[in-house]
Amino acid sequence: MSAQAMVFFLTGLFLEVAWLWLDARAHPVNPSNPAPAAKSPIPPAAKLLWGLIQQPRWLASGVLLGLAGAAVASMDALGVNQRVYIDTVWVAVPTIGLGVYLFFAGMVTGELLPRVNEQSVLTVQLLVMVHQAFTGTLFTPLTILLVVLPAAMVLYLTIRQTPTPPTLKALIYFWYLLSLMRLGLQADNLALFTAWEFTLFQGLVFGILLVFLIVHGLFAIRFFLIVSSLILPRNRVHLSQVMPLIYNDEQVPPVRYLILTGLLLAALSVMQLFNLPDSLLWLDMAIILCVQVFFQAAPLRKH
Amino acid sequence: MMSKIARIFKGVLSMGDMFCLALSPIASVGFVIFLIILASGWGGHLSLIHQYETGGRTTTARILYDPDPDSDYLFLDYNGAAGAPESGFIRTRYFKAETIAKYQQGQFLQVYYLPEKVEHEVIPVADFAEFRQYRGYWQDIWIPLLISYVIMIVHPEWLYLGLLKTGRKA
Repeated sequence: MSAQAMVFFLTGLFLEVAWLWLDARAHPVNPSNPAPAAKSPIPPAAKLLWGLIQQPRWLASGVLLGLAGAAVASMDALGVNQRVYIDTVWVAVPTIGLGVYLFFAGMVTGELLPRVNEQSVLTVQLLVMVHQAFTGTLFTPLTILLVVLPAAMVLYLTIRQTPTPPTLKALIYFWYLLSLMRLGLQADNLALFTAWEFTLFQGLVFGILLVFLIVHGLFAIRFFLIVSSLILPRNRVHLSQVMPLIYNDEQVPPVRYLILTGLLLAALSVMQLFNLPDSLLWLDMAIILCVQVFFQAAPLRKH
Repeated sequence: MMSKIARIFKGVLSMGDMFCLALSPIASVGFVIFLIILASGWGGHLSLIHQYETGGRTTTARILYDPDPDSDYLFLDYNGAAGAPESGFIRTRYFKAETIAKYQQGQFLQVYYLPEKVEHEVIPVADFAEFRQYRGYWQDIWIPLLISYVIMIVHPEWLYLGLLKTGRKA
């Protein structure tokens, strides 16, 4: 890709790592003793918006995107017009370093893994279902198995509003990871890996998506092994301690959830109906924002 | 007698359990690496199929030598882009032994080739279906992958590293 697009690709990589790193260090909550909500004259919608804007991720995003924009502007001013590849030195070194860090973060720690709840899982699966419906692949066996069935189960659990056993949570979470991998393997997303040309936006989203998929892909492998080990009863003791770290029982208020999810689904449907460009990339970003911003579950202190 | 056999059996199981525990750190990383190798082989093969289906061209080739059962290649000449003569090869691992054995020196056959590719590999048109069904990238990987998997099922403690507190006071 062009040097300018590669700058934005690298920015996307580091941006997503920064987001995940900041999320992991957000103020932890103790669900057994939540702070009482104080009365406030500020409308809830304004408080919600202010709460979203206040997050340090936007400062990090502003800094990184600003630096990338300045770098690209400098390149354009200097007339830089060369193609670079993954083995170009200034690309390979940070990419390999980041890759090693992600490998250890994914396999040896859980520190970059976003915590989810039933609503974020359900929204992700609904977004994927809408996309699959527009591409005509909603009723393929793989989609039904990986997306439709889990979405139906999670919808039932969300409505039921009672605690979910750890083993069922583990299964739902594993299904959620598989549906993320299924999204990553969509033809348009796979085409990014062999594409010759990238716009700045495509480069940025590809970088963000790559880190998101790598982190979740590595943990999917790890979690597949964890779920497989549950065959032996003696291995089930740790699951009840681990699941609260990755799967939160707390839910956002239903009205907020319905509004945000409805807006996302409507936006995605409009993009698909009018064949707007890069609709799959926007879907990818919507999913990442759902998990990490809109329905973000704060990290729990480790057991 | 039965209790003696049971004791021996328990001892063997216990040794196997300790063996799995000792190997579990390596097995966890190994499982990921083997999976990546497998995915890479699968993805590479799918990509190659796609390249031949979308960008492959057909030409006539002539086999230069009789097939050697021990060789990984079957060498031939063919007319490349713009009719230029090229030397190429068929990778025999994609095909069964009897498929390769039917070819003879001097035989003409239709092949697919990729004009942009540096390697002058070709695929016989008549055997393209067999090339598509090739699953040989599994061969060297599935046994260590399975062994790693079984070890991690028996002793998954390493998988919980970083997710559980070590027991020290905060």
